[in-house]
Parts: sequence; C-alpha cells; structure tokens
Amino acid sequence: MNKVKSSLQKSLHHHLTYSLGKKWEESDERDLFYALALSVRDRLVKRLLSTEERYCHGDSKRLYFLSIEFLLGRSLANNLHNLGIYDVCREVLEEKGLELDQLLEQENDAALGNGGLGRLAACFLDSLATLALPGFGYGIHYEYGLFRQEIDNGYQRERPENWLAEAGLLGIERRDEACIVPIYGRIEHGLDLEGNYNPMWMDWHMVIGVPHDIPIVGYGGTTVNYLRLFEARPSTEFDIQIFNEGDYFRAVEQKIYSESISKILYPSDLVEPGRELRLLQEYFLVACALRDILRHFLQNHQNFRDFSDKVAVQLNDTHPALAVAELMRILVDEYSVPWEEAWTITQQSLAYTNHSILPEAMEKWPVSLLERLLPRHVQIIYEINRRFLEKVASTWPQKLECQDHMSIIETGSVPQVRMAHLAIVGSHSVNGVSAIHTELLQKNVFPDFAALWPEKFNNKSNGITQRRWLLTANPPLAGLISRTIGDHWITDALRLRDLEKFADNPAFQEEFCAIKRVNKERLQRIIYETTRVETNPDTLFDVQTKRIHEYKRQLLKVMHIIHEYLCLVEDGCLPPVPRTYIFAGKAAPGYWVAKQMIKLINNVAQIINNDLRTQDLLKVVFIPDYKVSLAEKIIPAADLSEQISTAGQEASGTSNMKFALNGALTMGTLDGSNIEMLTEIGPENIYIFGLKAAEIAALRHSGGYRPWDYYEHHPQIRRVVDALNSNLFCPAEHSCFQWLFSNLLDQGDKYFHLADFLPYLEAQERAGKEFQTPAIWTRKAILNVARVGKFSSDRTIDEYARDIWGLKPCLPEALREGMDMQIEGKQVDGLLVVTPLEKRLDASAAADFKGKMVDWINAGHQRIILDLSRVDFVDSSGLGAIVSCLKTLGGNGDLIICCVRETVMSLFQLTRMNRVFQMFNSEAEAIQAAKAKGPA
Amino acid sequence: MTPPPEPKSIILSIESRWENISLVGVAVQAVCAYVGFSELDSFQVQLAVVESINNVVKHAYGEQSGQEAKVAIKIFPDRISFQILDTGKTMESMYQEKKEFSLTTRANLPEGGWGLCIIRTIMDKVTYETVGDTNVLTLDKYLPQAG
Repeated sequence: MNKVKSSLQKSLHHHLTYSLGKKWEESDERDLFYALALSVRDRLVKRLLSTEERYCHGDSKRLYFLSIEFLLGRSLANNLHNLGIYDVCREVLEEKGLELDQLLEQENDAALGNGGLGRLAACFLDSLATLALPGFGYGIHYEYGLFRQEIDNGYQRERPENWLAEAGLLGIERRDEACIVPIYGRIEHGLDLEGNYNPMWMDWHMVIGVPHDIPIVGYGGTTVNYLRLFEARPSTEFDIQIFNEGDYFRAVEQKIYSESISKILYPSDLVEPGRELRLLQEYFLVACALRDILRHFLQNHQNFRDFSDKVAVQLNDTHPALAVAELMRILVDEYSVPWEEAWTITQQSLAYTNHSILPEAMEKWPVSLLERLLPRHVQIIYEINRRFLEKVASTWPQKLECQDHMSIIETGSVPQVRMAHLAIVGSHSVNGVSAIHTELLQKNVFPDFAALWPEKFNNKSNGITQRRWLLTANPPLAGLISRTIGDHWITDALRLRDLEKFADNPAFQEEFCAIKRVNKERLQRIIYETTRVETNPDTLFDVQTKRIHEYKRQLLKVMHIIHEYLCLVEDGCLPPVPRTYIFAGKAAPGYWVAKQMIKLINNVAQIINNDLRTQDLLKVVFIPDYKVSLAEKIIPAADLSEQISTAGQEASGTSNMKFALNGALTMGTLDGSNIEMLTEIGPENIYIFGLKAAEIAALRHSGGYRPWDYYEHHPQIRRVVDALNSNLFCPAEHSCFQWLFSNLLDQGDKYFHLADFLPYLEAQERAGKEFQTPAIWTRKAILNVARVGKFSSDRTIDEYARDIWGLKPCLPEALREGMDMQIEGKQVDGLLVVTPLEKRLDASAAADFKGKMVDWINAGHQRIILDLSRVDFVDSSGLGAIVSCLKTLGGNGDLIICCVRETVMSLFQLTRMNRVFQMFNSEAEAIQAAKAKGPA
Repeated sequence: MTPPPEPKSIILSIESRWENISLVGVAVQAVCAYVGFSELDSFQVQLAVVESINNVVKHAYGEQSGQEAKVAIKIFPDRISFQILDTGKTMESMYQEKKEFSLTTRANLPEGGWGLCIIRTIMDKVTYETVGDTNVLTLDKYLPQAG
C-alpha cells in the first residue's frame, strides 16, 4: 500500500512540475485535478499496452462496438475505483489538506451522447473491460457534445459544450493510424479484362479520420481496452491540389467542411430528414472503423477466410448500418473478393441491435442524397436488395406484398433507403433490448423478417454497470453493502441477493436510511445552488429524470402534481405524504412539444412553490443541465423513481435500474424493462399501474379510445385538464398551455395520459401511504437493491459475448486459474492445425488440452498438426497428454508436431518421444509431410 | 579459519493445487538465469523441480488441495540446491525404483511416469529422505563455471 501511495505522490509532483509547470504550493484545484488525471492516465496507458500485447499474443477475436454515441460522463473517479487506488488517492490528497471529492468535481462530463443509447454503450465498455473481453468502442470525436442546458424564464436555452477543452489532454491521439475516407464523386461504368462489369468510384473527395483513444479500465485494473473516437480532418494533399489551382478560398472552405463532420453531436430523437452532415457522420464512423478493423486484421492474416472468426462488429442501432454496404464495397472492390464470399463474411461478422420501435425513430435516407454522397454504396445497396428480394420471392412466391414491405428501398415519390432493413439483411443477429421490446420487434415491427429468419432474432435485456451506478455514485451505500455481505457484488451483481436477509434487520435499516438521508441532503444543496428553491429532505423525493419526450410522459407526472395541488388548495385535502417532485432532462432543440413541457414544469413549480398554502407539503423543482454527473447525485437521493412511459413505447429504459440499485422504489407502467424488474423484484416491492402494451395496441387499432369520455365522466381528470387550459400556471403568459387541452382531447391523446391517469393516482396514493411507515418502505427499498442484480451490464455483455460475438475472456496467464485452456484449431487443406495459445502445457492444462483434442478427433479429424510455437514449457503431464492423443487417433491417424522450441525439444529428447513423433521446424513443412501421406 | 558464508537462499511455498505449480516454475527459471545457467539448462532445472512438485501434489497429497508444498533454494559457490518439502505420504519407495520404457508400438506408448527419469537425468545429485513428518527431496545441480 505504501509503495502505491508513494508512487502516486511522485506522479502527482511529476505532472505538476513537468506537465503543468507549477509548484505544489502555487497550484490550485484545477492544476491538481489535471496532475491527478495525468497520473491516472500514465497507469492506464501502461496497462493498455500490456492488454494489447496479451490480445495479440493470443490472436484473440475482437469485438468492435460501433455507436454514434458514447455517453461516458466523468471518468476519473471510476478509473480510480477500477484501478483500486481510490482510497490511497484520497489519503495522499488528505495529507496535503485536499478533498478528493472536490477535486473530482473539476472534471467536465464527456457528453458524447443524448441519453439511454449512449449511456448503454458506456456501461458496456466498462463491463467488457471488467470481464477481460477484447471489446472496443468505435465512435466520433465530437468537438461539441450534447448542449449545456440553461433555463431562462422557464424555457430551455441551449449553450455549446466544448468538452474537448480538457478531455483532449487525456486521450491518446494516434495520427499514425489515421485513415482516408472518400466521399462524393461519381461512378465510371467500365468492364474488367474478362468483360465483367467493373464500376470505378472516381473524383472523390478525401477526409482524414484521426483516431483518439480513451482508455477504458476494467475493475481490478487487469484489462484496459479503449474507446476509439475518430476526428475528421481535411486532407492536406487535397488542399495542396486546390491551392495549386489557385483557388485559395475553395481550399479553405473544403478544409472547414471536412472538419465539420466531427464538429457536433446531433440530438438523436429529432434528426431532421435529409441532414446531409448527419449522414456524413454516420458514413465517416463506419468508414473509419472498418478501415481500422481491416488494417488490424490484415497485420496477422493473409486472407479473409477467418475474418468472422477474428472480428465481430456490433451495430448499436441503425446509425452505423452503412457498415453493411461499406464492408461489401471494401471486400469486393478493393480486395476482389467474390460477391457471395464477401456477403458471407459480412453477414457473419455484423450484428445489429434495435433500440426503438417508434416509427419516427426508424432511420431512412433519400436515395438521391445517398447517391450524391456515396454513389458506389447506392449501387451496392441496390444489388444487395435485388438478391434479397429474389430470396423473398422464392420463399413466398404468392405474397408479392412481402417484397414491398421488406425491400431495403422504399419506393414512392422520394425513394428512401430503410436503414433497419439494410442492417437486418446484412447481419447474422438482430436483437432487442428487453423481453417485451424483442417480442414487439418480432410480432409487430419486423414480422416478415422474423418469419424469414427466426434464428436471427434474439433478446439481450439491457443492463447498467454497478461500478459506476453504485460503487462510484453512492460510496456510502457501497461501503455499507461491502461491510455487510463482502465486496463480491462489485463484479458479480447477483451477490446483492445476500442483502435480502438484512431487509428487516433494524440496525441495517437504520444505516441504510441514514445514507439515504445524507444523499438527500447533498441533493438538497445542489437544488438550492441551481434553482434557489429550498427543499426538505424529510419529504418523499419523487424523481423523474430522463430525456423530455411525449412518450415518456412527463405530462402525466405534471398532471399528478396539479391534482395534488388542487386537492390541497381547493378541497383542503392534505397529501398523504409531503413530497418534493424533482425533474431533470433535456429536450431536443427542435422538439417544440418537449421544450414546452420544460416550460410547463417550471411554471407549475413557480406557482406551487410560491403558494404559501403548499409550504412543506409540495415542492416542484426542475434541475437544469441533466447529465451523467448530475444523475450520479440525483439517483442516490431518490425515494421514488418515475418510469411511466406509455406501454409499448420504451424499448428498455435503464434509469429504472439505476434508481432501484440505489434503493428507490419504482412507479412504473408495464413497459420496457419494468416488466422484467417486476419479475425480479416482486410485485409487492414495485408500484405498477396503467394499460398494458397489448391493450393500448388494441385501442389504437379499434379507434376505441375516446379521451373526451374520460374528461366528461371523471371530475378529477376534468379539473386538471381545465387547469392546464386556464391561465392558472401562466398568469403572465396567457393561454401558454392551451395547446395541451386540444392535444389531450381533440387530437386524441396519443400517449394515453387520460386513460392511465386515475390508476396512476391510485398507485401514487399507495406509495404515499407506505412511505409513512419507514420500516416497510425501507424493507422494500433494500429488497430493490438486493434483487436488481440481474440488470448488471456484466450479465448483458456475457450474453452478447456468448450468443452473438463468440468472444472469450483473455486474462493474463497468472489469473487464468480454473479457466479453459486457450487453444486454436484451424483447417488448412483438409488438415487440422492445432495451436495451443498458452505458454505452458503442464499438469494444470493437460486434461483440458487432451479433452479438446479428443473432441476434434471424435469429430473426424484424423490428421492433426500440433503447432507448439507459442508454448515455452511442457512437463511430463503435458507430454503424456500429447502421447495420449496420438493413441486416441489409433493406427490410421497422424499427429505431427511442428515449431517446437529448443528447450521444449529437450523434453522430447530426454524421454525419447522425438523418436515417436514426426517433428518439423515449420508449419509448412509439417503440412507438406502430412499431405505426402495421401488421404487420411 | 573463517566459516563459509551463509548461502543465499529463498523459500517458495504454495498450496497443493496444480495451478500454483507454474508459479514455482517461473520463479525457479528466473533464479537459474540469475545464477548463470543457459536458457536450455534453466528450462531443464525448472522441469526437474516442476516434476518433483507434480509428484508431491499427485502422490504425497493425493491431489488434495489445502496442503503446503515448499521449495527451499540455496545457492552455494559451486552448486544450486533445491529442497522440495511436503508433509504428505512418503514417496521413498517410488524414488528407489528404476523404470524402462517400451517404444515398440503406438498402443504401448507410456503416457507418463517419466518424472523421475527426467529428474535424475537433469540433476547432478538426487536424494530423498523422510525426517519426522516431513519428506525432503534434495536436488543439486553444479553451477556452470563449477561444472
């Protein structure tokens, strides 16, 4: 421990002096933050290099996770925890009179994502590294991440957020691995020497993608993977060409245009159709990633035969779906791989995750736009589609409509490419992110595809990393849990179950409540600092934090608040329990309804908080600028978590898991992962209300939902809707919220607020009453923590690795205790070449080695070449296993050994086994010798 | 006359599990390289020590984990000496026997039992004794310059 401490001290001093040019006594918190961040970076980079060496040594299969978003948030605290130096670091700083927590607040969030999809990608990276899986994130190095939200007169204002100002310091820029991406241009139709059609993509422009690697450390510090983000830069060669033509301004314009590709992150839920720059971003990501993947693959492999044995590419939603066309183009055009072979390689290596069934989230791009940007890709997409529709026609010759439904190209006045169809056709796996979502995908969204390829469709229920959302976000609770049941839960979340026995333990309950109280007090301070609203931590903290979107129904929550308020001021009824309603979330800048919702929440807050009659009973706050680091403070302080989307709309949702992990009870509809949480946590520990997805679908189908009936028959509903229609919450801005009245009644209440309102009130009433009995509430809260273990992203990643990627953990040899021996078998000219990838073939590995060999022999392999080039130690047990394999082969088979090191050879000589086996210096000689024997 | 200096020494101790033996193996290899053995000799000495501990885990402890196996290494001016200590069943009789292997047909090939032969071939001196509860196998190998 002391050694770790003194090394950290030295590191801090070193970076203060040499990286920042400061003396300790002159440095401020910001300087110390940088010195610490750089010291941690040193440790990460060292391990990153050794991890890479390990992967290379084992020629491990690699996963590339392509995502247009990675919502990392802050990294430093997480890195300290995962490296196991958090406490040491705190001590070192305390000795200098500094608080680690305060220093950590200096870090800006890396907000390279909008919400769930991007945060999921970040949780996955943490799990991949913790599970020692060779998995890498590939994304875009946006200069401007998600906007900073300010609230001005209740309205959201967007401000630019330049996260790079500091984060740039911590990444690793890899100019030497930059890649060239062609865009625009035209197709020259031609024929090759044999008269086959041979199109040429000509006159393209060139953009350079420069990778920046962000180290991702797994818990325990053994594995450091990376997130590779590509920055778009203009090609200097191209500039010079234009300069030479004398057009200085055009050259500069070109430079600016190229750079703009990675300038800004678009809001995911409202990308306007036809936004050329967004399409360019998607292509830029895919083109850079695939070039990088192929470059790495070809370093160790001569041809593409075993590409899908070494490479898995996961498409996180359809944004990287152009990978299908780009991989085909590279294989067919650049490497002359025949179309059918290229198609097999493409399908076997790509897999697609769908994240939304909302029709507006289904990406489509006009063919005309694509043709201008990527003319060759359009040709390839049409060819893929032609062959695919042939298959559809031969499968269902009678059902012509299937070809229309399933076509990758949507015909019509503006023909468009359906990106989801492209992704499904080009992948070997299509998965949804919760049980209900996957079911809806198969039944309602892509039923024809599910009928054609039932084996492609599978479910991978989302998860979150407990290391960020409990260990880092809630150190007091993490500490209590570790003191009570040990710390195995950090890498095995199912162990949280051991807490069940403490659910009724008064001493444990007391500590649990005290921690919740501390977290609520911290949030109380943040609320005051950001909104100047005084809140009371004794009240029930009822929290809805997420993107603002109609289907997530912030409006339903607001209606509940208005109902409580009117009951109090008009009827004189006190609420069952005093509550603080807490909102946070961003609206897409172009999404008017969502932005109005923020205005409504702020106005309702203004009226209620300033009404003396509500004092200490009701408070409403909207905390501005929701982001990962703010979520880490809100979630541990929540009592009740609002997950109230219209059933059938939320693919999964993951904030519900984060809240439950921190001991908040869920108020939710039967939507997304709420359904699986209900099963795990138990109906008595979660508040479920409202219409089910099937009921809503039936109502939509029949047109039987009539919101006016609800309005007319239920005075409670009428009063709330009328209040929205009146100027009660907009005294100075008359009629500001009248649109809601028509939205809820005349326009059919698309999200079923009125239908779910009364059941929602009833569930809230129940929750309020139970909160009054702390022993009951706390028991439920503890059981939520204990039973949410299934929703760890470690479980999710383990399932992806096993079912979709075929990815195995790659640990250093010293940690591989009890794990399967790493051994590779490949077929060369009808022979099996077996290469043990471990350094040692000794008593601990012999049985496993023999088992795998016998499996191969039983599978019919009679002529085997054993390549011992990676093995530097064999003992008599290992040798015995090799001899045993020879005996298993019987009289007809052959086991030929090659590439034996001199040292290992001495064992063969000592035991005279060199006389028993045929042994060769190289694999080629061994293969030749085996072939010379004729057919086995 | 001054007494000879105490030899440099190190004691390695492991729990009797197969996975642990490689740790002793790599440590022995490193010590051998340190005293000047060639790569080939270092490998062979490692092999002899690993075979000895394999015997301890397999025969003395009957593959039971939770027992201790120790290797005491001493470096004398002329030789390096390894003492493999265990508190399991004695292997006295095993260390006496001499084996011959037949390599005539594939079906008859031995799948093990080379350990002792390897140890005797590689090391310059091999002694086995049981003192009280402790079995001690001593393996000596002359250092390169002394050999």
